[in-house]
Amino acid sequence: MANILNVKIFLWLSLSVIFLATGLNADRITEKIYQRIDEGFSCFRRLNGTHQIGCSSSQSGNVGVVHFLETKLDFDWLLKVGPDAPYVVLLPPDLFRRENLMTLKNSGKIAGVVVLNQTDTTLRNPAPKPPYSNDLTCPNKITGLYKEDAFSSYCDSNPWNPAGDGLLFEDFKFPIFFINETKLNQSVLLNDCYHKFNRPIEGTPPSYPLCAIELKAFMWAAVDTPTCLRRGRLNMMFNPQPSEYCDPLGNVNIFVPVLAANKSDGPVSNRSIIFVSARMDSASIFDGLSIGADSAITGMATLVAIADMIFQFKSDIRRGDIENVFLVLFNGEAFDYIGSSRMAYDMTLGKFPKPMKEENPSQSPLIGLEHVKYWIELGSLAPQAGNTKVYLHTDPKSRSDSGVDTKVKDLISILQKNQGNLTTESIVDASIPLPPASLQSFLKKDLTIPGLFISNHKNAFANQFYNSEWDTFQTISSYKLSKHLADIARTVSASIYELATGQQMPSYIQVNETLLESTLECYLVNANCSLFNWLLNGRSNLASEMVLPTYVGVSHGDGAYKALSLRTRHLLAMISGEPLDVNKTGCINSDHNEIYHYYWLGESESNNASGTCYRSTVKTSHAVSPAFEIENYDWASGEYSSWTESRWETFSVRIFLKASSLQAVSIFVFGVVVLLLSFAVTYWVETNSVLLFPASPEAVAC
Amino acid sequence: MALLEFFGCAFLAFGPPLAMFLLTIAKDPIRIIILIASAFFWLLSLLTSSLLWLVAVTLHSPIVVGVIFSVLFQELFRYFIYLLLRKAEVGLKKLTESDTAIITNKNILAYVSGLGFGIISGTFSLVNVLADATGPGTVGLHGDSNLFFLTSALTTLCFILLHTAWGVLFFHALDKKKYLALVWVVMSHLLVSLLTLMNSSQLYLATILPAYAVLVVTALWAAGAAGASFTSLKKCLTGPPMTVQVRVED
Repeated sequence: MANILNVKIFLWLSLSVIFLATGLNADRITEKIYQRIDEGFSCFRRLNGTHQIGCSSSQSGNVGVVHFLETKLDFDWLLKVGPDAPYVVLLPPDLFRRENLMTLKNSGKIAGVVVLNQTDTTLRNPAPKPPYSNDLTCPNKITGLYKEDAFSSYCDSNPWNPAGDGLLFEDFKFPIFFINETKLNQSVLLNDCYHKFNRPIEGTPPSYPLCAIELKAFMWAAVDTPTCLRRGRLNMMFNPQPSEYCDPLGNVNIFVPVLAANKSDGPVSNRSIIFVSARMDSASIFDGLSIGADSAITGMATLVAIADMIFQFKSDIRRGDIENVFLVLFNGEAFDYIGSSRMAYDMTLGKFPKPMKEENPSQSPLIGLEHVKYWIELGSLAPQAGNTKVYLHTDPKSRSDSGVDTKVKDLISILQKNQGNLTTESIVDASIPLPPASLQSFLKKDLTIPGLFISNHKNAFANQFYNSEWDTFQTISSYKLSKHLADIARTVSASIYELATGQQMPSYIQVNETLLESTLECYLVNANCSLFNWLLNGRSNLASEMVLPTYVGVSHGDGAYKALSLRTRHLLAMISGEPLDVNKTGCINSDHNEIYHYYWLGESESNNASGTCYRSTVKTSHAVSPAFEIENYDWASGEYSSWTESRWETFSVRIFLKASSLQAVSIFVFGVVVLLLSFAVTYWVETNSVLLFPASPEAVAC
Repeated sequence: MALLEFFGCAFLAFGPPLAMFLLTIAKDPIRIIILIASAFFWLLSLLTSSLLWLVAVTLHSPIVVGVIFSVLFQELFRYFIYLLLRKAEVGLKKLTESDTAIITNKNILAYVSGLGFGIISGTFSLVNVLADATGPGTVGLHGDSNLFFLTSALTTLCFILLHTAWGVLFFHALDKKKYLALVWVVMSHLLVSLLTLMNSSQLYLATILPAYAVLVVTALWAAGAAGASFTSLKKCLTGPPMTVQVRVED
């Protein structure tokens, strides 16, 4: 009885509170002053062994008067007149380029930059005019294969990424936000703020009050990676609330040994494994905006299609000298080959896939660089308008050895023999080195690996938006896309079949184009797709129409960047797995070991599907740079990637009005005068109170 | 810049009550106690008003109803503190040793309790606004007047001074059974409070000018009730030397 009463009172109270809250919220003063803008993606700070790059605001946020730079001509007014500094400038995406940013940075009048992505009458097509890339002209050169040899200067005269303006590697003392207003009917920043209050009319500066914006993106880390790690260690020791200031970039590499092997079967023979690899990450200046459509996903999706074909003929692989095929997806390649350099490092130290342990009977045999028979890497593969050729790049440095050269030639000839509908061109010019590729990390350790890099470009990248936030499905979309990727998958699979068995791949083995298309859809258009939902048993928890960023993230990081590797691992588990007749509890409680993992996939409450248990050889390995493993690593050496990412608390953007200083000073002076005056008057009345207020007739008489 | 506005408004609204507190109240512990006690009574009236508002909101009553009842509750609690102080007078006489003014001049008690009402009501109405005035922004993005903070401070100051005058007048009316003054206190309180409802339509001058007019009338009336007159004012302006002379003659 008492309980029921309590519940009633509780309900009544909570109802009243809700009514009160809804009734009064609209009248809060803060809402009269500020408007939050939530559609923002922020630039953040990264550090390497010697520098800091990216952006940071002050701890309380940067405030500036909003000014819209619609065309190049508007810069003049801002720099020469613009009396209300500091400004926060709104830039259309096409003006967010190095020269403009440097002008703004050096002007000293800027408190922040907002890249305004919105569609209205003046900006029909928000994407910048290609080519557009914020990466370097020679990506990953410092940690690459050709750092100190004759080929190192090749890229300087023949840049791989000629559009690269290197903005990603610039250090800004102010915050930069990317604000997406495409889903809104009208632009809050332009209509409610800039046009209403701040637009200069015929060059005359606007009068106060002006619309200002506050950008908050404070970064804890500074200077460079060793400094930040050292400060973090000190902080962990002496601060009652210990926290690091930065974290190494890192995630996981995902790899699938096509055939399961146990160390008890004996060691792997030298030169007996074919590796097929692709990268799964890209980069951009802004947190959460790195789809990497052609930078990463075309190659990765092709690898998925190849995996599906190889698992159809896996029983034929061991007919010849080949003992296994490894399919590998590298992570963190955009930041100095994090994933591939770590795998190569682990292989040389005898720690790949896992260090041997006597007590563990279920372990794969060790794989080292000497076991690699061939290496085939898939790069950017989107077909170009008017040129659907596929280019086969090789490394002239390793081919100077005639033994390696013969094997590479074999590899090329088998690929060209199986090219089918494709046109391939092998780069024969021995002065052209490998483009940026994960293969470089392995060749750096062992020049005897015969390797091949397949991509859609001959010299400069065909990808016009390499490692930028605009490398999206829209820019590579064509009716040929999935067909073209399917052709490449068929060619590579048939070549692997022939390399392994010496025979033609049977014609019943076909590319699963449905799978390829769903993969492209999930990675490029909508991560809340049916395939991903199937892989996660309906528990995907993503906003609809969201596309997952491919940026590597940090190893201790949060969901968004882990979400992509999780889905990719489950996708490969589905392709490579054997369906078992086991129920859910049995599946989850199976003996997960270093050879097999058990995945429960395809359960769906809404479709009334019960799910299936898959036993798969998919594995992950750390994709964290070896620099963070080696004691006393020389951070300036450039041997391995040294990138860390700063920690931050929040990103926030809000707009409000800024009163004129005249008004503020007037109010202040008025207040002070009233204060002084009231002391004077009160003092006078108090000292004269006896006379002024005669208490009673008797008192007066006294 | 926003910080200047913050300090300006704070000095404007709380400068006069601060001066009054420091120069007339702080010297005597009894006055401080009475000030706090009356502030507490105002808080009780606020609590009562809030409880009523809790119900009123669920009944979708217009805010006018809330304002009217809130004013009535404040005056009711002013009556309660009046009763309490008159009851406590005997005890106060025992406590007071040197300063007998508080006993001989009943208006002082009235003034202190009125100021207590004023300070606490002013604090409650302005502190939230002041907290938001620290910046970096000012009101106006959604079309509100950018003089919002200044008007709020001026209105608050007006209410603090009004409460002080109302206190004196209210106590005087009850002591001398002059009920016209009592009616004026309640009616002018209602009038000024209802006038502030016009602020939401940004008719700030229409609120502030009548409110200050009412303040002038009430303050003069209260001063008169406390014994001030043109004669006494004139005496003050020329008085002090005369007073000294009188004492010398004595």
